[in-house]
Amino acid sequence: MFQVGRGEEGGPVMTPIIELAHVCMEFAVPGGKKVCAARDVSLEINKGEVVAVVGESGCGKSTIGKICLGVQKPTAGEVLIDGKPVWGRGLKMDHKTRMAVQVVHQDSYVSLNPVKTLYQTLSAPFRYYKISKGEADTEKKVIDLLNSVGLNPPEYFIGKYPFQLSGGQRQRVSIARATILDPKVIIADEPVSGVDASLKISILDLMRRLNEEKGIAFLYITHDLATARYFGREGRMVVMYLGSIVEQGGINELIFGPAHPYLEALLHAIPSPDPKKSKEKTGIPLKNLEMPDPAEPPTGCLFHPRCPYAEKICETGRPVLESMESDPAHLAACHFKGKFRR
Amino acid sequence: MMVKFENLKIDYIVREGAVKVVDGITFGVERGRVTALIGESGSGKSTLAKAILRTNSPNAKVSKESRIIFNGENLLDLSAEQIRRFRWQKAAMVFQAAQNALNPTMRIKDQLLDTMMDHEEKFDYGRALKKASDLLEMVRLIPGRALNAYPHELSGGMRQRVIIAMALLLDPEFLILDEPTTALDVITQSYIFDLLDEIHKRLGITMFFITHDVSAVARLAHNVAVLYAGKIFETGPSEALFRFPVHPYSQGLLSAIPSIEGEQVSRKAIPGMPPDLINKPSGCVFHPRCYLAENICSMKEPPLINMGEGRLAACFRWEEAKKAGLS
Amino acid sequence: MKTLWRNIIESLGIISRNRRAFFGLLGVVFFILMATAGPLIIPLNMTADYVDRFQPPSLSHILGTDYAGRDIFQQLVHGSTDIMLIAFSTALFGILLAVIIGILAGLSGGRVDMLIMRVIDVFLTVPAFPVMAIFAALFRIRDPVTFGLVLAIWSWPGLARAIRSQILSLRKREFIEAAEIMGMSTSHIMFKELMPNIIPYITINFINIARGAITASVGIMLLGLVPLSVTNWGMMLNLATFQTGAIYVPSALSYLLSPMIAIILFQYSLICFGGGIDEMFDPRLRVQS
Repeated sequence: MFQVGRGEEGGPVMTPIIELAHVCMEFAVPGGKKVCAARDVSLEINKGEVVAVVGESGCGKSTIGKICLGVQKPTAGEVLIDGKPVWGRGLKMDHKTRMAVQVVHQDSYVSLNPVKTLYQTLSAPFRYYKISKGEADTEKKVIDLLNSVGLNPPEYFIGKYPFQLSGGQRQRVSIARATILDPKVIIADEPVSGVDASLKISILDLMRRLNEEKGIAFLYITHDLATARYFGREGRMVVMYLGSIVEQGGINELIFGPAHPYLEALLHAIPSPDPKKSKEKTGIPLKNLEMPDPAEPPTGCLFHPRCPYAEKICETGRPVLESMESDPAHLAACHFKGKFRR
Repeated sequence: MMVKFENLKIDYIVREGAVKVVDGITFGVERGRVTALIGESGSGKSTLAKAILRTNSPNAKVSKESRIIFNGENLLDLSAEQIRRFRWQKAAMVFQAAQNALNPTMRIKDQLLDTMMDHEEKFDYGRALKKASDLLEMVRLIPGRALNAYPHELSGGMRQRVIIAMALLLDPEFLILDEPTTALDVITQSYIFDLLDEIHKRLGITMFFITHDVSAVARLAHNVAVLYAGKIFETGPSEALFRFPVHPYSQGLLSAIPSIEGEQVSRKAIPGMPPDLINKPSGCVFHPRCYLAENICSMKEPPLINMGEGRLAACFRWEEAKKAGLS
Repeated sequence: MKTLWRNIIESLGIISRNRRAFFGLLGVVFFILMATAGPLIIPLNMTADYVDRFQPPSLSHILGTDYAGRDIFQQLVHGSTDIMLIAFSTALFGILLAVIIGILAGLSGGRVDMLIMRVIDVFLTVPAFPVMAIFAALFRIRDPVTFGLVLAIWSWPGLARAIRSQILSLRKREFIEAAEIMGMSTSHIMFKELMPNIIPYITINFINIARGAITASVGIMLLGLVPLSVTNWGMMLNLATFQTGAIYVPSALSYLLSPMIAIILFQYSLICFGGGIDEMFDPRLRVQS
């Protein structure tokens, strides 16, 4: 394991751009039951930071994204953008705060209006907020924008419709649109899962550049730990399972020293492009392959029915997310935190 | 050889012209082995797979010189009735997002038995049920429960396992797996690969994987072929190819995959865009994106060159590429 | 203005590639010209001349003459204006109602939506034709536009429901969410983002409602419930079948068939043209022209 630098302890107190405090999100499902897509989730995204949220489908990672975007109202808890509550009573969020959080969706095809050209799509915000002065200025700004996301030559792309572009190019357009209003943070929900392998990296590099050059923070939601590591570098990672955060900390610390058995299993399941290493990776350390019914979550630790190390206490007591002794920035919601009886 | 493609050419006829999806592929799948065909979107991998079972859409035109030899027989010459028998009995396919292909209104049992009834001349209920149960057990499902379940009562991973069992019902010699785990979560995916590995070892069935996910097949595949814009660029034993890819495209593809192992190394995307399949670049289709391209690459199309040790690459500059790859 | 022209030329280019739709368009243009310019070019002479009654087509009367010896072709041309006005006004009013109500239901949701949906259900379950016939008779309609309005009352509900569901499905698309996240107003999202996606749909339904209106109006006039002018195609049919005995006179076949064939041709043109509308709006086809 190698050392990475993260926010120093005791540094100046800064207001996080987004803060979720004890957020819960319940959905009613047919049969009168309720599914918890977020259970007591507390999370903050600071200025210029990359936070990766990883987990399998149904773990609630996309819900967290929607809550950060302010398009879904949590059933409990508080959401603050720049220290201001998003869902305060009678308090309408001002446009400026709202615009600080932008989005890049997974499916670039449905995230762009199919009947509009790139110019129509990208010029709309400039005109709407009167950022540009006159048609010529708008055009210049759109061209600059296309340049900034690597769609060269811009004149070639400006009149294109979304269906004329490849997945990677459309995703660049989505990213371009997200940057128009100078956001402080971009919520990127699986932005590269529909992009071809050879082009994934270039999209991640583009987001990386926006992070480094413009200081835009990213909440990177993904199922793919390898891209989370590539994009996140020295950033933080949050691992979710059944709506709860089960582990949180520096990306490399988590990947090389998972404290929660779930992350351990997840890491084990990731195939390696090296056939030799890949052949060693058989048999997942899990008692049960299937995810429990989210409408009837297990008692005690949510993971215990699948956990190969579960003991009596795991069936009754729900572990809280706490710091590891060795690393206060590394948190895990497990009774044993890496010290299992194997 | 189990299957041999000989100069396979498939065009999709659209208003703008012929989209050359599969453009002269000659390549064989070894009997009893696992072969993986790797390609990105638009490489023609699914069209190639469908061509074996002749399930391509009507506007797909297979060239007259093309041959697909299966056990000495040209599949492209078979009559409609013969090809119907060939499917499932000789060759079966597990296709993309197949877990949604089950009929939601029928119990698993009925779907399995119907498949057998359709293809077997002497259908015996008891024997068929036994066979279905055995196969479900092989994919590690509890037959008693799975047989009587409706598809919605099973998870995505379980449904995919049912589909795999279904593909094996008529004891095919050849199993095509077209992105078998694409829509599944990583843990389920890993489990299904374990399972396929086990099935291969137990039955010795020839497997032909079609995938964009290089890492996923690294574990199982004995042989690998890399496809780009309808052409085979490189083939060889998987371990050697994954460790030292020679063709600049395979090199680029493999080095573009981020990993959770070892130190964080910076990755590089292949520059440029996949080609327009109607108006393909002259010479080597990859030359506009290639770091080694020189004059000849834009003028002549490179044939598959034997590099020894069972490896082939379609690159004039393979020796330079090999050196560059090793350093 | 310039872009509008370019759009029209582009659309014509696309339509011309679809032969069926192109002939449909030619047919529609022909009938529109007949209804607008026709009456100005071809005078209508309605003086009765019973000597020449029920003449078969000839050089002086290309479609023959009616029961009073008057030229059928002239009547057909002048009657087309009414038909066109009815079809157009029904479609216009119907679309307006459907779009406003459909959007209102789709955007507001909740109780308003539910109430609108119940009202639509009522409209859809009541048999339209007899009710329209009664309405038409009750209101003593004397002009085609009012007639169109009455017909429109029964032609919007299906479309309104369809527009509502289109809005509901479009609203879930992520490009709408992206616009919301950018803080854009509901009206901007409605008119700049959603509308362009449902315009093809609305256009196709404009044609469908117009077609329905023609059938319905001719039917009602055939029954004699709305006696507009004598030259109206429906009235011509009514006179030929029920009132003048033309149906029993072999040489009067043209009097009976002319309005029928005109209706069939116009309807068929609309159907053919309507089939090409989807392509006309599809950006995929636009860019290639």
